[in-house]
Amino acid sequence: MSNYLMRGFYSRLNADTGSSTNPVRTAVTDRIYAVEAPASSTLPLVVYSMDSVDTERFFSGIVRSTAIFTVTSFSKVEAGPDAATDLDRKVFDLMDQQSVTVTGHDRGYIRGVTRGTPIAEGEYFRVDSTFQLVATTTS
Amino acid sequence: MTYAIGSDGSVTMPTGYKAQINTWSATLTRATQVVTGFGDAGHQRRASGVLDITGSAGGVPEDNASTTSAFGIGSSAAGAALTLNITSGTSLAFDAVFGSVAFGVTNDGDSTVTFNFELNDTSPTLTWDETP
Repeated sequence: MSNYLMRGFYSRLNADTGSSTNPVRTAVTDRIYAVEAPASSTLPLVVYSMDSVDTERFFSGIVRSTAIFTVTSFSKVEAGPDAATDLDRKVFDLMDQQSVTVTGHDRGYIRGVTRGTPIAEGEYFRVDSTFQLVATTTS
Repeated sequence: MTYAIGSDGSVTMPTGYKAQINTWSATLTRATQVVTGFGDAGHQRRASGVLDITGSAGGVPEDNASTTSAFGIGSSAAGAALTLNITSGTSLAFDAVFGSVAFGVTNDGDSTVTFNFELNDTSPTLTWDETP
């Protein structure tokens, strides 16, 4: 079940919103990774992970899942905090209040929960933002 | 013996009161009257022979498919069959009137609906599974 939620979330991060790409993919040159980025990856990049999934049960057997995702935007520290927050803004604009297809569910609905702030960590800035994906099984 | 848990339950709602239901509650009551008189050492009470049921069922509204309307209260004032199941073999079935239907929608939260009902006229059918 959770893998469908992951795939649904990623489908929006990777969605084509024009010109066979989207503003986030363009900004990070398609460097979008699940859970962790490969060692020594070029910056900027985006990492997403699923932190938790709460379930709510209905008498019919249907289950509504509410998954919390963290999307972390990494950018070079020399680019400054403005570049870091700009990448995070692109992520938010792409993901917030969007419907996605989730296998076996009525749909997946993504909305932003928290907006991150830039934190300098050595060679890079990171910005963590969290999103919620709500999906209800169809049977 | 089996201890009932919430997911053993279910509810069969009348046509027009459709939603994805995940909770219900009902209270069975009889009116009582104090009939204490002089000389009694403690309160005396008598219960009415007329049973009443009030309660509610709640969940999430559905749409984009046939027979998903939750607006039954807008089209019919008549009583309708309602069955509340504690488990698959233990239930309360009765004719119910719906006095109110409460919707709630929060932009960054949930959509909810709650049906509030009361017993209508006929005696309820109370079934308790006592099969060993």
